[in-house]
Amino acid sequence: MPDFLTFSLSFPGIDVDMDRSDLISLIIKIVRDIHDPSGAVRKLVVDEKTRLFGQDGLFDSVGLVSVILAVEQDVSNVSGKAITIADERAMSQTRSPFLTVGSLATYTAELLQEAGAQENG
Amino acid sequence: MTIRVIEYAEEWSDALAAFNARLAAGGSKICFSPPADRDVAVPTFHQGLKETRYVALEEGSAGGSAVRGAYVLKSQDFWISGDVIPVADISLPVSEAIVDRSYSHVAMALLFNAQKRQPMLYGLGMGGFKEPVARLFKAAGWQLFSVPFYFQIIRPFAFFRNIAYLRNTIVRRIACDILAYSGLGCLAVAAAKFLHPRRVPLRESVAAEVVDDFGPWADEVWEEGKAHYGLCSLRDAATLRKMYPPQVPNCVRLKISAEGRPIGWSVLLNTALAGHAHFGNLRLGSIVDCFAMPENAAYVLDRSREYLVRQGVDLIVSNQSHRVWRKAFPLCGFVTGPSNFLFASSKALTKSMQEERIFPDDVHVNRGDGDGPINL
Repeated sequence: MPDFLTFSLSFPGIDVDMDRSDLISLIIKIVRDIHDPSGAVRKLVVDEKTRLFGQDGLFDSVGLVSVILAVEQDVSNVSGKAITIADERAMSQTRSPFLTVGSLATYTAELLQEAGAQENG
Repeated sequence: MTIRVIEYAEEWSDALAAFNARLAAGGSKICFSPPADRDVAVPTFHQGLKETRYVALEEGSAGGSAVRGAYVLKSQDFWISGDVIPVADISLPVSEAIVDRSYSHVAMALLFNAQKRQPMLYGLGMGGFKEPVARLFKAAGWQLFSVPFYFQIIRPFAFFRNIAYLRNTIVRRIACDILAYSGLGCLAVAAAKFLHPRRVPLRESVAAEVVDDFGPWADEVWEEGKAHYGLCSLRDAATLRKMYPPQVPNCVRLKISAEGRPIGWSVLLNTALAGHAHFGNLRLGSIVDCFAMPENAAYVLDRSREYLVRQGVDLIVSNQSHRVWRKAFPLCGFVTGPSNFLFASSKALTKSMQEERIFPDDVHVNRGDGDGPINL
C-alpha cells in the first residue's frame, strides 16, 4: 500500500480490508522505522524474505517485541480489527510466524481473516 | 520448533540446569534457580508470598524438550485508591537470546504469557533504563519510572575508602583516598550536613522500639495511613509477616510510637558488606521499607536513622517513590543520588493507575517490594 494511502486511511473509524501485500508493505515500513528510526541507514534492504530474528535476523528480543506490537497497533488502526499476534498459537507453530516479514504478513492476514469472519458470523 | 510456556515442575530440573549451563557458557551471569525446598531452606524475605516459576520449553529439539527461557510471578494484593486487587511482580524474565539470537522470540513468549496469566503486572529494580529487561518492558508499552535513591554518609572516612561506585578508576580512587586521609572528606560531609540540616520538629514523645514481629498495632497504622497512598502492596500485619518473616535473621522491625500510640514502622538492615559492586566493604544501613501517616513519616525516618547510626553503620541508603517519603528524607538530612532502581507497570496496571489518576509519586514502592531486600 503506498504511504499516502496508508496515511489517508489511518483515521479512526475508517476501516480498510488489508490483504497480504498490504501487510507486507506495512510491516516493511515498521521494520525500517524500528531498525533505523533516524533513517540514516538508507541501504537497508527489507523485503518479504528479510529475517526478523535469528542468527542473521535484524532484531534482538526487544526489537522483535517492538515490531510485533507496532504491527498489531497499525493493523488495528487501518483495518479497525483488533488482533493479538503474539499468542500461544503463534508460539506453538513449528516454524515461527515471526521469522520473516513474509511469514509475519501471512500469519497476520490469517488473523485478520478470522477476525473478519467472527464479525460477520 | 514450538515454544510452550508452562509452570515449572521437578521433571524439568535437568532441562533447567542445562539452560543455566548454556547461559553460563555464553558468558551470562544470570542463573534461574528452581524453587527452594521450603522444609530445608533458610528463612528468606517474602517467603510467605506465593511465588510461581514458569519455563519456556522448546519442544522437538534434539534430546526432547529444552528450556529456552523462564520467569517468576510473585502474587501480591495491592491497594489501589481504595480497592484491593491482585497484582503480580514479574522477575527474572530471562531467555536464551542473551547468548543465542536464534531465541529472540522467546522473551516475547514469556512476556505475553505472563500478561495473559496476570495482566496486572509490575517489575522492580532492573538496574537502569538501558538494561535488557527495562527495554523489553518499554517495548511492550509498559510505563517505567525510576524510584529515587537517598543516602546519608555517617562515617566519611570509611565511606571514601570503600565506596566502590566512586572508586572505579585510578584517578577516582586516589581522589577518594585524599578525601579520606586528609580530612577533606569529613569537612565536605560536614558542609553538606550544614547545608542540608535535619529539620525534623522536636517531639520527645516519639519512641522507637525493636519488635520481633508485626502485631495488631501494624494493622492500626495501615488502616490509618492507607488512604494517603495511591498504589502500594498491602502493608497490614498479615502481609508484613509474609514479607518479613520473624525467622529472617539480621532484619530489624522498628515500631515507632508517639504518646504511646503506634504511628509508623520501618524495616531496617545493618549489613557488613564484602566486595559489594557499589558499596565495597562498607557497613551499610538500609531503610528497606516504611509506612506511616504523612505527618508522621519524618519521625519514623528520623528514629530509623538514629537507630542505624547507633549500630555503627557507615552509610544509610533507601529507595522511595511516594511523595510523603520523598519529602521526609531530605528533612532527615538525606540527599538524593542517581537511581537505577526502576518501577515498571504493565499496560493493564498503567491503565488502572491512569483511571484512578495515580501518578508516580502516589506509588509507594521501595526495596521491600519486588524481589525484596536483596543485595543490601
